[in-house]
Amino acid sequence: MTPVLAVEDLAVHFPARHGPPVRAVDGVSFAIAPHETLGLVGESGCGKSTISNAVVGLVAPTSGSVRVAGVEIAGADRRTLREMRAKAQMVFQDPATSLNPRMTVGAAVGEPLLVRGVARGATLRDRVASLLIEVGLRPEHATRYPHQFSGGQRQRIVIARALALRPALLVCDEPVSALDVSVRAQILNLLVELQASHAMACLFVSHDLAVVRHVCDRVAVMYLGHLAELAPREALYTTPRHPYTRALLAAVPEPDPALQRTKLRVPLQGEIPSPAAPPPGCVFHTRCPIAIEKCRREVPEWRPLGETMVACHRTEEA
Amino acid sequence: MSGAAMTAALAVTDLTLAIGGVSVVDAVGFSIAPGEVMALVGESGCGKSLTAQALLRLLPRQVHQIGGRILLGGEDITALPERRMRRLRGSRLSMIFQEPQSALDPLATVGAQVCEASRASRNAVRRMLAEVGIADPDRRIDQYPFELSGGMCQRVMIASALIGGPAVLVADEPTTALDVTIQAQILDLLRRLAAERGTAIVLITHDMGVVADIAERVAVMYAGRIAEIGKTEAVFAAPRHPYTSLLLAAIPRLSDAPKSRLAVIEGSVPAPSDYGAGCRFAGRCPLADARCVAEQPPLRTMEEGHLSACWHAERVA
Amino acid sequence: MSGRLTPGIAAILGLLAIYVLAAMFAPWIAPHDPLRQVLLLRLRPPLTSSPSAGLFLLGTDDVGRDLLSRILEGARASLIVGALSVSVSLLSGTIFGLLAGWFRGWTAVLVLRVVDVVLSVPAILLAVLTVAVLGPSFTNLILVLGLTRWPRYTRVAYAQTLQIATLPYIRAAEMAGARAPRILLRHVLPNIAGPLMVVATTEFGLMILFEAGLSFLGLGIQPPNPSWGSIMSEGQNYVARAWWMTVFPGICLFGVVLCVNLLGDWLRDRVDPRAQSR
Repeated sequence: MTPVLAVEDLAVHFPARHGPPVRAVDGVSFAIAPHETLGLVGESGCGKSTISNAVVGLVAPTSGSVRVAGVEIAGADRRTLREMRAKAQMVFQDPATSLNPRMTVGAAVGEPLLVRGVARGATLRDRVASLLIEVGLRPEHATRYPHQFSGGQRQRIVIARALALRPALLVCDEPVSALDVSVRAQILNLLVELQASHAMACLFVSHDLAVVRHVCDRVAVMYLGHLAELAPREALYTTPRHPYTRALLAAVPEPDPALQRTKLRVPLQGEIPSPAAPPPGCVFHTRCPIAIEKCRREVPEWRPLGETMVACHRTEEA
Repeated sequence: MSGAAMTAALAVTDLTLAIGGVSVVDAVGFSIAPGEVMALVGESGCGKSLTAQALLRLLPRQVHQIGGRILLGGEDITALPERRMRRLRGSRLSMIFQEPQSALDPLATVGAQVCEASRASRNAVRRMLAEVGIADPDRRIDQYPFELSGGMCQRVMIASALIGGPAVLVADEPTTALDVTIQAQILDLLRRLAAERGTAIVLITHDMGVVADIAERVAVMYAGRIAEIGKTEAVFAAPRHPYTSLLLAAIPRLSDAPKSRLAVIEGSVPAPSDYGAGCRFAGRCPLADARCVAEQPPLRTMEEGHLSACWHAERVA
Repeated sequence: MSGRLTPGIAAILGLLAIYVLAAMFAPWIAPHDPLRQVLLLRLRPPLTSSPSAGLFLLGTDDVGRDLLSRILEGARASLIVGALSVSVSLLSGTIFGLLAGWFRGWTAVLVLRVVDVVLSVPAILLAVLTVAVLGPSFTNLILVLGLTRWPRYTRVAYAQTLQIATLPYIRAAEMAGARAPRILLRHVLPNIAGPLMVVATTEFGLMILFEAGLSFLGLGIQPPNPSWGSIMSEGQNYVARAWWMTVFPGICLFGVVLCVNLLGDWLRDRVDPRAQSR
């Protein structure tokens, strides 16, 4: 079956005003099957947001291939890009800036349909109404403005807008990070329901490992533009193979004092290096608790280990 | 409330803050022993940040303290003249903030900023920077904030907050803007410093995981009031307020069954102008009854050191 | 000044409303024909009344024309000139700024360099040149004022467009499939309108001043049509004998521009995004 999204050797470099370019994404490959949700986790500078922008065509890849429903985006002309954008839609992080403050909610949700000539007039109104109901709002809300809604409700509106064109791929870039805990739960529940009812594939980008575990089938861990590990959800959380994954899991504070106080720490030294000057060899070696000489010289290969894909020299021994 | 025999490092009683005529923080009280870490946790709008600012008397212009007392090491600082309050800040009572990079002056070097807090010598500053875990302090001391990462800026803020040797440190969401591995480092640092120096820490956060990590005691705030307060283990293991219980159930955990349905708290936090006479959580509470809507429940002691403001506290699972 | 509708702001809006209405209905409410000369009643003081000609509330000028009527007609001229020139420069300036901010690259470089050039040319010099080349006329006056002021709007529109272009809802519109014209008109323009309106308001006051200045120099509205500037110019030879010819138009000019500036300040407070976050 054709994967909904197939990324191969994707690299995105941003030229800097002086100095070397920022290597936001450096050789990343993965694929998402239809109906599957892939989580993409990592800390700042890892490139996950760049990948989500590249996948929906908002950022041009420097090299490599990005295929959405079989259509190549990298280097595509404007017309192809525009057509492809109907197939992949995005849910953004900040509900405050994801909606045009001077546009009614109904107009915002209906814009994709209007612009592509899919629906107009009464048909458009009906489609917008049903979209609003799907995300847990009411048709009357269509005439109101974003500032009249709470953060959680605005995020629902953003989701409704993203679903308007029935995309094959939904890219969620930190969709719940800006929301309160109790609202987060509502939106996550909604996303899980919608994935099932719409049979969409989903790329879920987040820095929060616990959230990702709740909605994803497979999880990919990124560090400084590279993929460290990609595994089915349970495999990643129970038997992480990459030392960075282990450190990340250990660093997430569990809301359970008994568990948290006795948790095994994997302390990482130092700071995250700048993507403009990534370390040679394995980019993680400067902070890795088990780095050896080989890690400083050779870039580890991205290879399978059971169901997991991992890039680490030390995993052969494990 | 902590039952400590010695003087509490910080004791707050009945703190009430208002904007215009509307109270936004109502009868908040707690005390912290020296070296103890106490967390003030709640979602946006619960009043935790305003409470923190009130402790240092750094409230925004429209917010007024209209009730309550603040005792620092037994001394009442509620009505202290601003001149004397200024001397307290930085030396006996200090604060660190959420966005480390914007909390530091971009035009002053690291060393200058830490010095400014206490007029300490350059050597003392260098030692402090090393103690907060900044590698190569001799180089860093002359650098500017833009040359430092978020985690390092936060360490610099901690250094300038602690160099005066304060008895109490108020930390307002100190790790919210940081990556999770850096957050773990900063939390470890705070815990270590509190233990070594006997500094009491008031930790403001919305993250229950952070509370579970370093706080010995926790106060859960909702709509301007304390809903529940007690030892962290006790509150997490057996919450005595429906809000705490629902909040804990709404958090996705690594130990949950995957794709499980998270508990949801219906409705949303009421605005201060909509506070009724009764319990402010009554509109969203599954256990609410007529009494809850009519009468505000006081904080009642459930077990030693564990208090809850709920008429049905015994029934909370 | 806060952003709310205080009595102060209501008073200012009231005064401006009087100005606009008086200017619009000048031909109907003027007690006399502004062009009619009554040589027997030259340089009469305010409240001069003549059984044959009527009451001259603000006096007469050097050829016996009613000052009040001329001031009203002058108000009309200033209003039209102000409104038209602001419209011309607002429209052209905004378009350039939007395009420069959206497409950036060479478009922006070109636009910004032209902006720099135009801002370096002194308005008076440009006015004189234009009048010398094209001859003095009402249309040319609008032209000159429009040509010199559009960069003010371009700079604001450019900066605002740059800021807005990075916001998620713009990206969402792109992803919906909207093309540049729709995005600029439906998404960017409504959100940069606030600051532009603030500029337009203060520019209006400035345009009135400029028009008065140019007319004073004889480069604007040509005699016998009245303009506050030209009335004052005619009055400068009679300041001692007939102070009313310079003082009354001067007060009107001062009053209108002051109100417009205060209105602009109030609008700016209202439009300030920091104030909106409440």
